[in-house]
Amino acid sequence: MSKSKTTTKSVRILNPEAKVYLTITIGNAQIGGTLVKWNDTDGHLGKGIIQNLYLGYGHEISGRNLDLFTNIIDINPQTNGVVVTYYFHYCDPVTFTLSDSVDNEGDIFSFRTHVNFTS
Amino acid sequence: MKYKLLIIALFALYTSYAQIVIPPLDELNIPSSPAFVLLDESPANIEKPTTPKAVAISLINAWEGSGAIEFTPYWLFDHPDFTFQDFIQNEKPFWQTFAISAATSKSSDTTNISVGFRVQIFKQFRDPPMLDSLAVLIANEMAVMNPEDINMDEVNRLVKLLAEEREKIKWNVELAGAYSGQSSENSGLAGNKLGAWLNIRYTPKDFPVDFVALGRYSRQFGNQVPNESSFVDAGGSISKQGKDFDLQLEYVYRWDTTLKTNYDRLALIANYQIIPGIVAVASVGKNFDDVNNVFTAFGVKFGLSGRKAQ
Repeated sequence: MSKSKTTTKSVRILNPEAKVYLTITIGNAQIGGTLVKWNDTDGHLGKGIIQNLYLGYGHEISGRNLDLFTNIIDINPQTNGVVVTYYFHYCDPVTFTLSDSVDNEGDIFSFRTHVNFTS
Repeated sequence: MKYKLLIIALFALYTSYAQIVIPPLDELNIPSSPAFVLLDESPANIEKPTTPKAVAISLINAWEGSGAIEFTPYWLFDHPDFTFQDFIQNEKPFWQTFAISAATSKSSDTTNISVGFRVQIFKQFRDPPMLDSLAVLIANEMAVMNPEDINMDEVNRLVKLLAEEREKIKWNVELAGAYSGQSSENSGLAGNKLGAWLNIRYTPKDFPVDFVALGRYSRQFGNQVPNESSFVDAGGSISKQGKDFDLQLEYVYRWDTTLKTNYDRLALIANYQIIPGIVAVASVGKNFDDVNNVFTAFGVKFGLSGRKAQ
């Protein structure tokens, strides 16, 4: 069984000349994978565990929309809570965290997040 | 199945030597919920709340009537930075495993209350890179736009492998304790039982035998118990498990701190699966407190299940 939540976030580029990287952390000792893609392209930028994924220079990504599809499976018998944190280097906010819960161990929760980069 | 047969064999062995007061080694294992073992009756329903609000409600319910509650405070809250990789590498998972259990039982004129804890103070997985690799494979399978496109057969297969691998722990040191008391209409709450357990297990990856050291302290005291008693039990085993056989050399020592006396026993126990469902059992040992202190036992155990031993 799976549940989902869709979120839209606006993220401001702090330095147009700085390289922007994305790191995604799945908390609560759960396991999840993310598919990262630009809204205006077909292919994906990254897939699986995302660490320091290069998105582009600040001025290159300003005005673009990034889609993040994070699916977490509850493999922790101690909790049904699922939590994911997105880190954007040289951006404001630099991080944001989404959390929820599944009903049973083994269930999947899907976070669909649309990030709009602004300058 | 194999383990069930082993337990049956051990039970039969110990039953035949019931006059010996030395507890079997398995009895020194930490109970899953220490608070509950001190109550004379097992709770029918154990509440396992996962939020602070649910804990409060469960505690009130347990206090007002007979009930049992078990929870791990750390997991009542989200931990965004505690990843699965942290879980693998964390060798001192004290807070992550510190579990509290509490129970009450009421009769017409008395109320028994018991509180306990259980914690893993040191842990080392046998193959952390394997766990890490399985997590990466699962993450890759999960990375799709639509959750309906996830290959659940493959994910479930990997999750099952992960669960099996997570059970393979090289070093495992656990500690537990429990305390219970009784109150009645004529007297206030007073303690009557106390228990403490320490388990150490070492299961090396590429070594032919496993090592176990177990310890327990148990005490009954106060005006509410007919006979005060306290024991310190300690034991250890070296065991080898093969495809069709188990071989275990175990030693148990009991110190009766009330009567100021001690007993111990050394035993070699062997189980051999002749065919699935039929196991030959042999044991030889020595009770150091008896005059005729050497014992031997041989037998065959029959299992009713036709499933292959694991």
